[in-house]
Order: sequence, then C-alpha cells, then structure tokens
Amino acid sequence: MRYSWKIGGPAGYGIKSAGAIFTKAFLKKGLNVFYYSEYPSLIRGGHNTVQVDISDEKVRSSSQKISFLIALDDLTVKMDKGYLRKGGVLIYDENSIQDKKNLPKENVYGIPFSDIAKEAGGLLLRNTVALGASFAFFGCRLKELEKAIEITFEKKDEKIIKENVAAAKAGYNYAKKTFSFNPVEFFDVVRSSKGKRSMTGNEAAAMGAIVGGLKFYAAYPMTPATAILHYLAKHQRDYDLVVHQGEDEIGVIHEAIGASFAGARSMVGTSGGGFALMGEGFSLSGMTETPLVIAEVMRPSPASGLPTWTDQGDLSFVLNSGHGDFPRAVFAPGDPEEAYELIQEALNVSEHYQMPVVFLSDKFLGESKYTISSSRLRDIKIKIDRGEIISKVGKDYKRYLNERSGISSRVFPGTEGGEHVANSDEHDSHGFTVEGFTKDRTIQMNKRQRKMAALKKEMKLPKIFGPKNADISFVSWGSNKGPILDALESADYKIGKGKQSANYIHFTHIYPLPLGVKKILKQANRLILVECNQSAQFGKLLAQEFGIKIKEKILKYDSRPFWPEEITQYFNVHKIDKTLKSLWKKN
Amino acid sequence: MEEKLKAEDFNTSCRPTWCPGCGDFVIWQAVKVALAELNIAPHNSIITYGVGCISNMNNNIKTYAFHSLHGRAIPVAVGAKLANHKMTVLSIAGDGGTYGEGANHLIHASRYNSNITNIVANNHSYSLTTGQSSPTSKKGYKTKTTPWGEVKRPVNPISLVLSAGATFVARGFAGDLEHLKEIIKAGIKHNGFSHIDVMQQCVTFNKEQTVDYFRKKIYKLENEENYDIKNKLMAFEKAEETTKVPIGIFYKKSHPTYESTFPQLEKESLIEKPVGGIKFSDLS
Repeated sequence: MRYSWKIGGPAGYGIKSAGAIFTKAFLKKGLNVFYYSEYPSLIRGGHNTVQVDISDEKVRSSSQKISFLIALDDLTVKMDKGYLRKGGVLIYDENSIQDKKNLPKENVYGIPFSDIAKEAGGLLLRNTVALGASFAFFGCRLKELEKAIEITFEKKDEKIIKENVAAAKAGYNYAKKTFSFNPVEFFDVVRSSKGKRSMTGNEAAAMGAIVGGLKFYAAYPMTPATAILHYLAKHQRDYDLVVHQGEDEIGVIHEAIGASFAGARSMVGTSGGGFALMGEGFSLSGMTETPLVIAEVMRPSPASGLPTWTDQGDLSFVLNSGHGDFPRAVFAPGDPEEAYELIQEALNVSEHYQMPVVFLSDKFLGESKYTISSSRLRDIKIKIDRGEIISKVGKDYKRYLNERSGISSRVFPGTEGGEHVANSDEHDSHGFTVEGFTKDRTIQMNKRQRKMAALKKEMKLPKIFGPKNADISFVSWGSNKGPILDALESADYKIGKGKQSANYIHFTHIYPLPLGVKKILKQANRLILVECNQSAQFGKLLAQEFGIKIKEKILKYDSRPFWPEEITQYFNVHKIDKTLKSLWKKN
Repeated sequence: MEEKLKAEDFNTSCRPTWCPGCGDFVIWQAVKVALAELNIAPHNSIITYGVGCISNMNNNIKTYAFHSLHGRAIPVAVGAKLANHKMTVLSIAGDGGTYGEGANHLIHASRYNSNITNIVANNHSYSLTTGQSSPTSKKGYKTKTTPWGEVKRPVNPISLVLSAGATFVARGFAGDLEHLKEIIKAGIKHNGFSHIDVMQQCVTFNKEQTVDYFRKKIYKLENEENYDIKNKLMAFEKAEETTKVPIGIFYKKSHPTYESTFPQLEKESLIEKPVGGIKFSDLS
C-alpha cells in the first residue's frame, strides 16, 4: 500500500518542519516514508512543498499522484490540485484561501488553520494545526503526532513543544468534530520501528566520509551540496577533522589539494557551477597525482539554472572536466546506503590511485529523506586504503618513479630525505620541471594513464534488480534507482499490457566502466535508458566506451525527478517496439 | 653537535633559468639563507609556488615543494598548513599571480591569518609571458598589451593586505640581500599571515624600474624615528608614499592564527591524527 501526503505554502510557513514532523511520526509507526521537498531559491514567499510518501513496503520515490493535500495558500491549490489522485483529499486554510472557485468539487475540506493557530499560540503554528487535522482524517492517534513533535523540538525551548502540541491537538479536535472520514487502514497496523531512521543522501555522504577517515573538508556554500558542509562543520570537533569554508571554489579545491599533499585525506563539495570553477584544480590534482574527492551534487544547469531543483546534466561535464588527458574516477550513488558506501570507496580510490575522484549525486538524492535500516549501514565495512605511503626514505627518492602499475609511492612533508616537487608542470621522476623536448613527457603521461587499467578491474559491475533474462531491461544510474525500482516492484517486475518481464540494470561505478558491462548489455533483449538529463549523457558514455547505442530512451529534464508512474506509463503511451520516441523528447 | 645548516644545503641538482642580473637570484638566496639561519631543515618546510619566473624556483630549493597554478600558491599553502601546522609553510609567486589572478586568495588568507609566509617577487611585469603589463605596473607603462601606455592605476600591495587583515606586512628590495633575508626571517618567525612584497627589477622587459631606479627611491623604515610598527594608521600612511618608497616592516600585530582556532588541532597536527576507527554507530 502506498499513500502520499503533501503540504504546500509560502516560504516561512513551516512547510519543511511540518514535513519533518510528519516523517518522524510515520517512521515511529514502523512504516516506510520518503520525504521530498520542492522549494524556490528564496527566503520568503513562493511555492514550497513537502511530499511524504508512506508505504508498508519499500518506498524510495515521490509519486506523481497525491492522496492527501494540504493547501496553506491559493498557489498550492492552483499548482497541486491537478495531481490529486481519484478520491484524493484536499484540506485548506479557510482563513487564507481567497479564490474558492479554484477548489476541486469533491473531497474538499476547509479548516480555519490560521484562527486555530492564533488561539493555540500564534499564526506560525498553522502548519502544526494542519498536521493535527491530517491525523484526525487518517484515523491515527494524536499521541503519535505529539511524540514526533517532542522529538523534533527536543533541543528547543519547552514552550515551543507545548505550543505545537496544543496546535496539533486543536487541529485534530476540530477536524474530528467537524468531518467524518474513512481511516487509512494500513496506517493502523502495529509495526516495529526498530532500526529504522530517515536519512538524506547528503547526510549519508557526510557520515560515510567520516567513517571513511576524512580529515579535511573544504567547501563554499552551494545548493544542493551545502548540507554536507553543514553536517561536517557541526561535527568536526567530535570526529577530529578540519572543515574549512573557503573564499571561493577555486580557493577551496587548491586548499584541499594543499592539505592532501601535506598528508590529510581530503574532500571538497559543490554543485555544477562550483565545480566549473574547480576545473583547473581538478586538472592540477590529476597532474600532481594529489588524491582528492570531489562531491558534486547536481542541480539543473547551465549557469545558475534552477538552484533548488534536480537534474543529472553534469555527468558529461565531470567525465570531461579539466584540461588535458589524466585519469579520474566517477562514482554515483542511487540511495543513501550507496552514498554511505561509495564515498568511502571514492576516498580509497583517490588515495590508492592518487587521482581526483568525483562522487556524483543530485538534489533529489541529496535532500530527500529516505527510510533506511541502521543495521544495513552498520554492516557496511570498508577497509581504509591510503595507498603506498613511505615513512622511511632511502637514497634518491623519486616521487614520480615510473612504476609498472603507474602508482609511485607517496611521502609526506616532514619526512627526512623525501623532499620533492609536486609539480603542475610536466616533470621527471623526481618532480623537477622538464622544459623542451624530453622523453619524460611520454613516460609520465603513460605512467599516469596506466593506473586506469588496474582501476577498471576494481570497478564494480552494475547491479541487476529483478529477473535475470528479462524481456525489458531499464538502464540507469544514480538517484533514478528509487523511482525505477518503486515502479518495477509495484508491478512485480511485469510491465506493459503484455505483462512482459522487466529488470533494472543499476550503475554506480560510472567511470572507468568495467569491461564486463558490454557483455551484460549485449545480452539484454531490449534496453531502455532512463536519465534525468536532456542528452542521454550516460548513454553517450556507453556508446563511447563500448559502441553500444541505446536507442530507446526516457529522458526527463524539467527539473523534477522521475515519478514511478512515468516508468510504467511509458508502456501505456508507447506501442511496444514500434516507436523509439520518448515521452519527453520528440525525435 | 649538530652541524649548522648552510644555504647550500637547500640546493638541488637543478640550476635556475632566470636571466643574468634578475632579482630572483637574490630572493632565492635570501630564502635559502633565512631557512638555514632559522635552522629549518629542508624536510621541515613546504614551499608552494605559482606560475611565473620566480615560481620556477621550485626546482632550485630543496624542501617539500608544490608547484601549483598561476595565482594559486596561497590556497595550496593555506591547506597544507591546516593539515600540518608543524611545518614551516611559505608561498612564493609573482605580482601577476598574487595581485591579479589570485588576489582573492591573498585577501582571504590575510583575513584568515593563516600562519604562512607569502613572498611576492614584484617586478611590475608579466615577464614569463614576455613582459605584459601587470597589476602593479605604473600608469603609462608601455608593453605589447599596452602599446600606448598602461591606463589602469596600479594596486598598492601594502595597503591592500593591511586592510585585508594581514598581521605582518613588509616590503623588501631585491637589491639588498641582507635586508631582505632579515625580513623573510622575521616573516617566518611571525605567528600569522606574513606578507612580503619584494620590489624587483626585470632586466629584460622593464627598462625603467631598474635596480638603480629602486635604489634611489627607497629608504628604510627601521631608520625612521618614532615609527611604530604596531600602528596600523601609520602603516597606511607609509604605504601610500610614492615619491620615496619605504622598505622594511610596515606592520606587525599579534593575533590568533587560523590554525590555532581549531581546538581539534591543539594537541597534534591533523596528519598526526588516526585515520579511521570511527564506526557508523559512533555517529549521531
């Protein structure tokens, strides 16, 4: 069973905190929840929403259709009523909705949220009043909501908790007294909530980085990557790392490179625009073979794009960023669990292979709250690999010794006899600049590139969800995992009118792609590429690496993540095998 | 008894590639002698370089060296110092990189009060790219990019870093090795961001601002009666002098270094800390 609840209103109306309380309450009930928020890049006004999808099974996406909508303003009615599912309920603030003509005809309930809030302690409590009313409609117990309020505000003033509890109660009582409504039955089953918690992709990345031995993090605030900076900044003293907010992204990447050169496990975080500024530093990390992880949390670009929305349009950019040929790796997690694991792998690869590694996430994964199992994360154990570091140096140390593996040993400043130049100019094996024509150029270029051969073997093959030899194979990467799996699981991996079997080939190790990928894709019966970008950037990579061109594509780039419905709908709109046109892209 | 370090101990197998008569030779020697006299062994210091004539010095001083990109010597030094504040960290670059391409880093490293020593070989030209006008070039300076003479006014490095919050601000002269070396030593010893602008000739491209030109123009601040290096306003006044140009230490102030503001670095440097050992269940 799946139920989706959404609340909308202007910024400053407590939309996000209402969503957070709601999420906590249902987690406590032992249900699975998925919190997704949409908000414009402003501090007051605009159209802000939180949608919480609740299920007794796994849920890792936001559905297109809304079961229950709370409108705190006219704009929410206008923007979201069209997404109400058949029989879906809309409750609205009677005190602030002006245009009653716009309201749907059925299942609509007006409640004076503002008046009730004022009575309970202040207008700002209208979000909590709405939460109370929701609980009455669901037939849930008020106690459960009160508990969630207490947990949410436990670090705040006692008064805040009291007022919110009073507001919730007032909303609950008003709705219960005034309306009658069939309870949502699956909410009522008693379940254990043990080990369940909600976590965003950004939190998981920050936590994984700490567990993975991160020592130095530098960043310049940029949505939607900033939550990683917030988390690490807050906890730096507890877990013994240094977090530096730099002067700009150019400074940030060079500061991290300096720290890494001096011996600290280092990472930076940003979004596409910030990574654009980091381009020269990215190349510098490649040339000097200074380990570095770059967490790039994508938002729709070009330029400032849509700062608070989602997209996967930076894949080609990170694959090709930085002047010159140099090795790199790209990882892309599909959910917080993978984020937690992959950031640790990224740190290991960066230090083992002495190269820049991109951890590519997006707003949808970074800022949505997933339900995760703590024990699953506890079970993820990745050994820290710092690569070859020598602490006793013999005679004539060569930082860039032409090793067969391409990996030369590192030595950190402070070690006697290990003095050398980490050089952005082309250099010889000692690191000294080479000018004019020498064979060192080719030697060092080949040495650096040789690292890719071993790395390729280490990169993991995509995970296949569903039946092995399916009629249809969806191919995708990153955060699309959630909507695709939700769609396929709800259809029992049988899709379309003919109930064809379907599976999902999920890529997390994006570059360099391991060789086995070709075989997997060649064996598939029918491939459909799913990406949140305009030009099928991962598809281009598959074509470039293996000559595999996936003609059938579902591409979305309207700034929203996929809804699971869009995956299943594809088969209602398209006659199977006849048309290669996607839903969103003509030609 | 340990042998005293000598300037030669900092030599590498590479010889400099500067033009004969270049001020870079003097700066090179001053840095080596300063490190030797302060008894900072080659493995205990990190020097970061930008890109430019002076930055090719990476090949000629034996320390841990990071030859970065144009304008980026300072941020690499800031990061290295945060990672290991027990190292002596210097950044060495030219006027183009420091006051042009990397000016933002200069302002902010001054503001952070990173405990690094920033030496700028200021020859008022982009010499490695064959002598174009730089951020410190005089108005009217004729180059290939300014055929009718530079129209933009030069930046005043001393005033700039003073207002940005640097806690040690000095100017040296590449025609006075002994004086420059003492400034560099004082800069390294200072706890905080030390900025040393070094007035320097470019024998190949800048025919006007020669060693003689500077020699006639300069006077030493330490010979001035009643000059107080703790007085920032006095420092600004001296910084704005143009007819005669003072060299020496303009300003020096005690202020907590950036690194010292991290309590987690109190007992040990970042790189001395264990890597790993934190489990998921330890996280809140």
